[in-house]
Amino acid sequence: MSKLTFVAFSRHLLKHPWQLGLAVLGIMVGVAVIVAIRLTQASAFDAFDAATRTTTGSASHRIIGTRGWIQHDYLQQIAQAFPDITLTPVITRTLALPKHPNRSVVMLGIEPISRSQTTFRRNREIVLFDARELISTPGAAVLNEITANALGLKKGSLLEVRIGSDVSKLTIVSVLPGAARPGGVINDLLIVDIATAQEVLKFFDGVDHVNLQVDEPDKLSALNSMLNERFAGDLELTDLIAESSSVKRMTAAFYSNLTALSLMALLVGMFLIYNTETFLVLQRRQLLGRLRALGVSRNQILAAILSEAALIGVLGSVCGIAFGVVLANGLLGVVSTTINDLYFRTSIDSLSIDVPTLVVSLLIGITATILAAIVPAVDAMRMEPNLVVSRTTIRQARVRQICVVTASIFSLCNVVAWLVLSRSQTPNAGFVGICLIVIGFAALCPITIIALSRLASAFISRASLLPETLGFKTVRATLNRTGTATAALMIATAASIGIGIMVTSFRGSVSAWLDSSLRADIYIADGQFDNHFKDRKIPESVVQTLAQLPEVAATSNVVRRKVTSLDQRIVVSGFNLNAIAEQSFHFNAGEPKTIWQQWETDDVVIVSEPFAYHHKISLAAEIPLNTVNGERLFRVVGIYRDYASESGTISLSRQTYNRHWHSSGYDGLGIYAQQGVSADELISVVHKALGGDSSLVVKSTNELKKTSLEIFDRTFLITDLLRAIAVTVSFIGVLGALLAQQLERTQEYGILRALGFSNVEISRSVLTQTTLLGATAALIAIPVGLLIGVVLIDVVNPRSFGWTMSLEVPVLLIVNSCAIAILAAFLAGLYPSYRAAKIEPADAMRYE
Amino acid sequence: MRSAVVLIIISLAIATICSRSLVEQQSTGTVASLLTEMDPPPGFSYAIDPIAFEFPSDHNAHPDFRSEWWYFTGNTSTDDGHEFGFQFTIFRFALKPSPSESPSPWRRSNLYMGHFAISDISAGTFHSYERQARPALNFAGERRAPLRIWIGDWSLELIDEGSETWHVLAKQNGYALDINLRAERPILLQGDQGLSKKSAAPGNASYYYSIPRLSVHGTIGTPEQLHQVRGQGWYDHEWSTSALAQGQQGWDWFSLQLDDGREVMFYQIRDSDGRSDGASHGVVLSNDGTQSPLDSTDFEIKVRRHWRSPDSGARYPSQWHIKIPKQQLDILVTPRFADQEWRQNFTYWEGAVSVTDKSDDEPIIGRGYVELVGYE
Repeated sequence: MSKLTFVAFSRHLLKHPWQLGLAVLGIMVGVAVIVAIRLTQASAFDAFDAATRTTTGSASHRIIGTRGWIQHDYLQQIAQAFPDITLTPVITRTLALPKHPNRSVVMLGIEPISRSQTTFRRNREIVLFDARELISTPGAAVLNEITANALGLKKGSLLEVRIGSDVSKLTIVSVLPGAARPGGVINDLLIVDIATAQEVLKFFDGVDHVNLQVDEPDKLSALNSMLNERFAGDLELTDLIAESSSVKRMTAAFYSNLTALSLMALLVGMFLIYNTETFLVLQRRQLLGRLRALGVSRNQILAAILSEAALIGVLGSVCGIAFGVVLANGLLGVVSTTINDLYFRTSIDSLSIDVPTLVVSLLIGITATILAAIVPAVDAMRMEPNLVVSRTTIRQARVRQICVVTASIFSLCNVVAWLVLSRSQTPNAGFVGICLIVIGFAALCPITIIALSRLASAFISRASLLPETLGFKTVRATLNRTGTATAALMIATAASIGIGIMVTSFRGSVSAWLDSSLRADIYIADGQFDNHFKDRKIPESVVQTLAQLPEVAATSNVVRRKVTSLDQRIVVSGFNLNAIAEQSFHFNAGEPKTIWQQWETDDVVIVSEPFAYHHKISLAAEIPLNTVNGERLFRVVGIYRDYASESGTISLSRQTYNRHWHSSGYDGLGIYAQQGVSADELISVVHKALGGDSSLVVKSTNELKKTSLEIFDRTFLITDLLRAIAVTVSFIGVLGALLAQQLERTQEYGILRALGFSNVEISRSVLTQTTLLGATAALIAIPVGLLIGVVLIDVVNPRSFGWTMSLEVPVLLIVNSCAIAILAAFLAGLYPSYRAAKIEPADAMRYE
Repeated sequence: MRSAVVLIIISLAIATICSRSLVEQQSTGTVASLLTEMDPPPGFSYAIDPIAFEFPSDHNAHPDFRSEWWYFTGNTSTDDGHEFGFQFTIFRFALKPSPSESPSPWRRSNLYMGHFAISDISAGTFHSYERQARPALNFAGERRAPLRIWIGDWSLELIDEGSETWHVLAKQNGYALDINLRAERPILLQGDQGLSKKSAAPGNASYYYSIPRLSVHGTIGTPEQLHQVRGQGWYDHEWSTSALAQGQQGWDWFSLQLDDGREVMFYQIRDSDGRSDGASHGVVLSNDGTQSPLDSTDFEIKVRRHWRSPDSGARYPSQWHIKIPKQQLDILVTPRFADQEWRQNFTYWEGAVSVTDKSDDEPIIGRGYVELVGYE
């Protein structure tokens, strides 16, 4: 930028801080939302990693006993055959706390000295706690600060724990500081030495599973074949890294929904930049003309405008990064709850700042700004050298020209969007499609404004409504200023509607699924109703006792195990279903009648929808499963709707299950009450029958539904929050843009005053204009929002999770969003209308 | 546009500072840290007065003491001149003086750690492996009469008490050591009749003896090949409860076998300033078996070169000029190659060295092992 242009431009900008501020704000919002989402995701992953490190160390694999434990003798045999593999024994169990009846802790018994319990970073070892004290002191235990505070414990305190009727006293030898530190992440986790774990459980014959770290594929396959040959069916090798990365894939899919949001925000920002730059160019016509006349070349003008945009981009992006970090910090609590519900009971108290993310966001912000400024810059470049430039800045838009441009952009974008959505199978294609649809519809804004204003003028051509009529005309005349601000408002509104539709539909589908799948009156599980640290089975005797109760009409039950198939660990559920329970499956594919006919006798399975999606499995496909008798093929006879697991499950009958795996006991029971017996009565009867075995959790169906939906709401709380933030700030930006434009036209209002318009009439004219823009934005936002919702539901979510859901249109949300858009636009007119009305005609005329 | 660049730089700097403050605290706490830990729990025995050693029983573990190690090092070569150094050590650490009673096989008060390293001198590569285990389910343990100590399939065993012949077996990742070591010298009690003082404070001492020269026969395996080797080794056995005093930073330990038949062992303990501590000792065993003890005034160590580890960043001495005037010794000790740094739970330098006369160009007149602990 030459010195002359620099001075000229910067003076102009400084005289019009509104313009500058708005442009910066626009980019800031977009970048901030991107940064906030990325950083929260990174922090969530870090917390997940830290939690995984605490429970599995740096282990890559795990040997599990299919009966729930591995006897010491087996362990010794493996150690002899593979002396160079470090075997890390683990025992986990949920323990009741006699002094805290409503709480439980998960005891994790480990070998603290083992290498796979520690981790290396930057060549320095990070040790989770003092291993020596844990090993050498019987009953020594470690927990994190949050849990310790919750239980009123400190270093040296005694903690009473109970398993069944055995009570033990443990000594807290160490309290892990802050949740962000290694090992301190998981709440309600009690780390003890493996010997202490055995002493607490009074179980001295073996361990639950063994972690190990093996990198060489040869050694791994040797180990695998040894396990299969010598301990066929008793021991299984599982890949921990694959499991944790599949969890991460799922989480990433969840965040990709949020990414859509940040892209929307950025798009809004780009429109604001375009708007501002166009306006700045228009305003400086005179200046640009003079500069050209003074010998400044076209290219210098172009470079100057683009540099100006880049500067705004840098400023906006840097502010955006700062705001994004603050935002992400605020969102941590929300993320933490999500992780608690889905994976571990963790807490994240510090943000992981990921520098590459910040750099990328900065670049995205700057690039977006420059892109948005190209068209206005080229406009400015084309300006002819002229010393006497007319002050008339309004370029009359020709309707035919607008129609042609609108039609071509609209159809091009939508055709490309349709092509992208139908051809590509990735979730990202969904986002590209959404962006294209949004841009296509944004092009409709100017023409819609014209149409609406003409329509409105036609209805109110009475003399008493002259100010309104004038307003409509002015809107048409200033399209090139108002069009983009309207488009930005439209996008913000549409994004809000679209994401709202997705979440509502998702919740509705989950709720409907819960209603149809939870058919029993109460459910019983061992430990918590989640899949973590799941260890013990409910004994068969419990089922027999409960089935004989007079209040119980029927029971159903399920047993679960993880089985190796298709190179993954897959949850296989063996069901004992009664006639009512059979109805709880809603099949997307497969005929229920034929399914239930062969259910118990044949080797058939039904798979959940996400499973079918992830493994590309259709009806009649045969799935290989590792059974006690080696690998066997199971035919898929049905695909059912299920939102319980993102990775999916395979279900079969308990009879089929028993033919292929040895296992006694159950993971869950459903109890059906006799007629006239309420769920509460049933619960108290069951409690009595169980004789106070507190490790079993009994919950009513209503309670389970409530908890499930609460978890759902907590998971999507972050979506709602981010949406609210993005939309609010976008509205402020749009509001500012409209405000600035109105302020710039003060002189025109002065002329109107001189022509005899009253204060009130001028105010009415201004407000008519902005409200019309708001109405246009709202009108277009409805179909665009619906389309975004449909693409999220039909394209992005199935491709990310494999979940399908039924579209639900939340009318209230749409009405609200539109009302907010119109209200924002109306508010944007208030101050300019006040200013315009106040202006002295003489002052205004002086400018002309 | 300079302002834009400045803004970018500022924002990056802020981001870097933020991320740096999040680097997790590091601490130590593995069994290896017991080596340097100051305060042992009560109940252990201390090395205070000289004792009457009895063999073979004193080859066994001394569970009253907190830490103990059996240390084999040596320099070997194949018939066609491929040279290897080796180190094999088993450490025992007691967490408590006596074990707690429990039906759990995991309830043990001792932990074992094994260090196994091959210095492929001809190739200039160093391969080190570490194992830690508690003596549960036969993962590690000790058998007496005859002595055998093992961690998994790593073991040392006294296979003939009369001739003091040992068998050492270790293998990991394609590297293997399977050798017999036969004493060529009688047992040498270090320090004051086997009481080796580490500082002026009583009890800051160990019981310590060596077999300063053993003939080595056996095989050393590399992933490519199994090599028949012969050479000479050194055996140390040391046990103590408290070794280093406050302010002591680490130690340099030298074991040299000269071609003229003499063996030289000395160590200097460095204080926090890196200077030699007064409690530095040594011994020279001459051809006829005469022991000449050395105190800190009898030998002079001058570091001639340094080497900085690219991995840990620690700066180690990598050549010493050593003078022992009483023995008419004026020698240069040089690592066979620089990078013989241990990078496991504990970082230290332990490697094969050569002995030459003053100048580098002189022919090798002896070989040995050097251990450098506490460098940063």
